[in-house]
Amino acid sequence: MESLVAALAAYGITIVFAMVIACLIPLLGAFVKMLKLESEEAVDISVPSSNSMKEEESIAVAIAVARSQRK
Amino acid sequence: MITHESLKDIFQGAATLFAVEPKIAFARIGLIFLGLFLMYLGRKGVLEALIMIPMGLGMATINAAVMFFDPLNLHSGVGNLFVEPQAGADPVNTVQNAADLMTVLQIDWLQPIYTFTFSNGLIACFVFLGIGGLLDIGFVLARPFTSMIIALFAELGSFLTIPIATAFGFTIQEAAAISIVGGADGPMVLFTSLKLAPELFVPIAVVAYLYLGLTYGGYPYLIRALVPKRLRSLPMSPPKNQKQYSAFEKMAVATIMCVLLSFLLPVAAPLIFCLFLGIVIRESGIKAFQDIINGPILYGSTMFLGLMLGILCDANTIMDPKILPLLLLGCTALLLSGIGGLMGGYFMYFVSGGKVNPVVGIAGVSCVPTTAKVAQKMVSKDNPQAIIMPAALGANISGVITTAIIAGVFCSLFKLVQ
Repeated sequence: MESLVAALAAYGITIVFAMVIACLIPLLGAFVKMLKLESEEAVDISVPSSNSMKEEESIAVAIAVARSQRK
Repeated sequence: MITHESLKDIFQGAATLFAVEPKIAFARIGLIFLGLFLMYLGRKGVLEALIMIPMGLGMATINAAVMFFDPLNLHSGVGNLFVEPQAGADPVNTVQNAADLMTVLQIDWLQPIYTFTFSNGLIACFVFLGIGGLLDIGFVLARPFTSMIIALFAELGSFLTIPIATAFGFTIQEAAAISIVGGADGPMVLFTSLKLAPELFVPIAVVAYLYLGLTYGGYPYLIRALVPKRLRSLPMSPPKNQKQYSAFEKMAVATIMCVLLSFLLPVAAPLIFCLFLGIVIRESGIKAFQDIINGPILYGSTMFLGLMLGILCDANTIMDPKILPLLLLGCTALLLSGIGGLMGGYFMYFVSGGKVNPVVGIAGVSCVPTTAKVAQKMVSKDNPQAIIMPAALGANISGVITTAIIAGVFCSLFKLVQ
């Protein structure tokens, strides 16, 4: 009997937690929509040394210029 | 000169059959064939091949490779060169000191993997990280309430098995560790049993994964028995006014949910973190990370998990008197969860006015993505045009979240009950 009560109590707590999460999910969705996270400039975060394609291109150009000056 | 003793030393695998109790010897032979059969069923696609093929081979081999070897005097003089599961798992028969541990680590070739990834829950976290990399949180965002309610119904076995297990003589902690098999989430079972019943960790893990393989083969029969063909073939349309979320937005939602759930349930935070880290990496667009978690981490840990579970299925472990009730209780938990999930499917069918196919309910049992695949397969058989996969995956992912909540609740609540 005691274990049944404990199990039901655990189920009750889980239901409360899960319903809180279920209520929060649409709110979170609306919240992130409001933040307008997508910027116009596409950022390549896979490249650790640069923050954007544009930055990467400018580094490449700078290296090319430096090399041509050395010659 | 070849003597009887030297023959015994050469053919130790056979000689040990006569050096142990007959029931253990028969169990060894039976387990060799069971291992081979599991491999066959895995290869045929009846059971989950990713687990069953390494597990079956491990099970067959470990029961063949028994020899006169027991450096820690734990098994009446017989053992194997693969792993010593009691090194760290069992508080009574555990190794006594660091030197003993170093001995088993140096002798048993899979011991370092077992000790440093399995018996501390790391492999559960790795599997969860890999699973996270497969999950699209957009399916939950599309139907949060439907998914979560179905998942809650599908946890029925995780709770109702607790009083049944205590009736079998298990403590409430052990009962909770066994019952979470009903959540059908392997990493959660490993994690919870380590926290609540470390002495039962090995048999619970073995039983859990054996049955998780069976959900693939057994749940279709349950669906056929409980859902009539007319309802099985019910098509589902996407929810009205469904918002589309970009990868960046999904990543932001997953990040906030990770922090929030970890705040609410710090006990289960390692697993919650790994799951959401996988989701975040999936949505982040960092291809190098995605390749690591979707390849080496997920498949590497799954392979070693299956292999280790097979290796742990030696006759001594399986013939433990506590195993039989565990087999019954694990089966009961998964059966009750399956029934609960379908009840959830029916509940949503009536609440939505017939718009939700009740078969989606089985996907609330969070064996990702197996139960979602089972649900779609069953529906496609009766109506090839009906697509329920998005809703099934929503319920599936919610199932993972609810099982994480249950792991946290069990570990917090039952740790306090004496």
